[in-house]
Amino acid sequence: MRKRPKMRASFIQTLVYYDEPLLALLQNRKGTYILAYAMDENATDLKDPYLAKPVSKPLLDAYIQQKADLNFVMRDKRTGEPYIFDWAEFDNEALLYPAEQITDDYTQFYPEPGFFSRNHTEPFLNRSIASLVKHAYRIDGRWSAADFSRFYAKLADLYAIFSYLGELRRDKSIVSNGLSSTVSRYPWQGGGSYLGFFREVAAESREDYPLQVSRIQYASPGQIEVKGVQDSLTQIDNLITHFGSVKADLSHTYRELRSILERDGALGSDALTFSNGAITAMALSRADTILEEMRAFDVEIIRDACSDKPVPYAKLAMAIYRRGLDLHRFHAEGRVQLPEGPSTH
Amino acid sequence: MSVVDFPQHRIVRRSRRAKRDISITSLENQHVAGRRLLRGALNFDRHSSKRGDVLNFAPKEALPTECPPDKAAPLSGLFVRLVEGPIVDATFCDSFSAMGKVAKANVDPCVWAACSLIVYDEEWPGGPIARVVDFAKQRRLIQYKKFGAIIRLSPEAGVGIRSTEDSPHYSFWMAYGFQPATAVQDIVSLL
Repeated sequence: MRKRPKMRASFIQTLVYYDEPLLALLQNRKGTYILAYAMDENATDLKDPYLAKPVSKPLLDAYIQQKADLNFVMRDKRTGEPYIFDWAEFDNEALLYPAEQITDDYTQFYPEPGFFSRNHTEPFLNRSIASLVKHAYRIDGRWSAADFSRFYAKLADLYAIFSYLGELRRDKSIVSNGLSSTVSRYPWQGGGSYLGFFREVAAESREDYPLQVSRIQYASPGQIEVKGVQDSLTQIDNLITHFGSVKADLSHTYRELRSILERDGALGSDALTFSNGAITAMALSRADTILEEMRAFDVEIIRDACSDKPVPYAKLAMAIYRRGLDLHRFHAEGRVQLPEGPSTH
Repeated sequence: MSVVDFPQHRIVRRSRRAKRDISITSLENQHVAGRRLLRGALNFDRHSSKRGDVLNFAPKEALPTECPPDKAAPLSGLFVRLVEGPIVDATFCDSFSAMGKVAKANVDPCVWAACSLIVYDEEWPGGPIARVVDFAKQRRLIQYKKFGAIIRLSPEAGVGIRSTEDSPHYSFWMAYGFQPATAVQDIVSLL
């Protein structure tokens, strides 16, 4: 059975309050409503566990209109199985874990039958939020089909890695092993590995971080509009802007690193380690510099994930650099103007 | 910590006793309060009106600034506080804030510093305790709060807000000097 991915959700409103929120309405990044109610405090190892269930709008409406009780809503299979999250870790968003990853039998924590919305202590505000933002890049000059494809491919790769690393930052223990095993699966011999790696990272986070092209206007000037999570899109924009000021240094370090890999025979091979410690140290130092200079990545997390694989770590740094450089070129050539600010959908 | 026992009160299982002589007046008061406080939801607008009644209010607990909100008004009549057992001590109305718990994310600190009370609704089919039992079905509540302490509030006891006219819940900020244990009328089992 496919392992369900985690998801993130934002707080919409409290529905039942008694000394603390007992039932709340959340919304995930795709806009799906989620009902979350307080579980027994000792039900899991989490400090303040809540059972969260995605619900369709018609089901939510039925519950609000007292045509169904909370127990029925939680057991409804049509919108998927429930999640569990720790309210004590609620930041801007809550990180929701598939319930089966937290406890063996979550069904024992379903609410008692007969809890209807008449017990809501707060009015239902019928509010929703927009987690995904539209991000429009204004384009100018001449664009071929290949240019469009290349721009979007690099954007999607960086978006995937930023999103994935954002999750790593928040949840080191659980996800870092995932990145490590993803890195291990590829031989890192050539383009296919890099493509596969970024695709896999994107697939891992697809449920939560969909990047969609919402509009392409081919005219000159025109625009390419994508829809995604604001944080990741902003980080890419910052990287593109920042790239210009460090381009020369980065380019120099990149060439050095590439040369080290080439001389050690690691460039086209599936080697995980260098031939000796001195070369390892030189390569790691340059890979660190590349990632640090781009000021966009948590170098430690990537390095931890690749701790015993210095060659893939170096190749990953180079791959990220190349994608940043490609996007920066579009910007430096005057063919892409960065958005001034995101707009919600 | 002083412990107040109420051995003279019978522990009632799903009590339907109507204390009409007491609560008709109190329900009227609550109804008026409810209408007045209709817009007093938890996410209140702190700047929408002058701080009338609450200006002279001396709170029992340390409260955040501009707390209680402008729309809070003195509460009077019967209310129910969910409690763990048939015996309560002097702190049974303490807010989570007074207990030293850090306010949860997405909760107004002022509301966090309030004591939650349930409406004593005599018009509810089955009586006021049936109303409380219906509310207390929530899992985390029923795990710990198996009893309801019926308390009688006078306007000097403190100020509160009902989220909506139909909400079973009041946020209540106790006044300095109010001893909630002395306000207990009865403690009933909710099981």
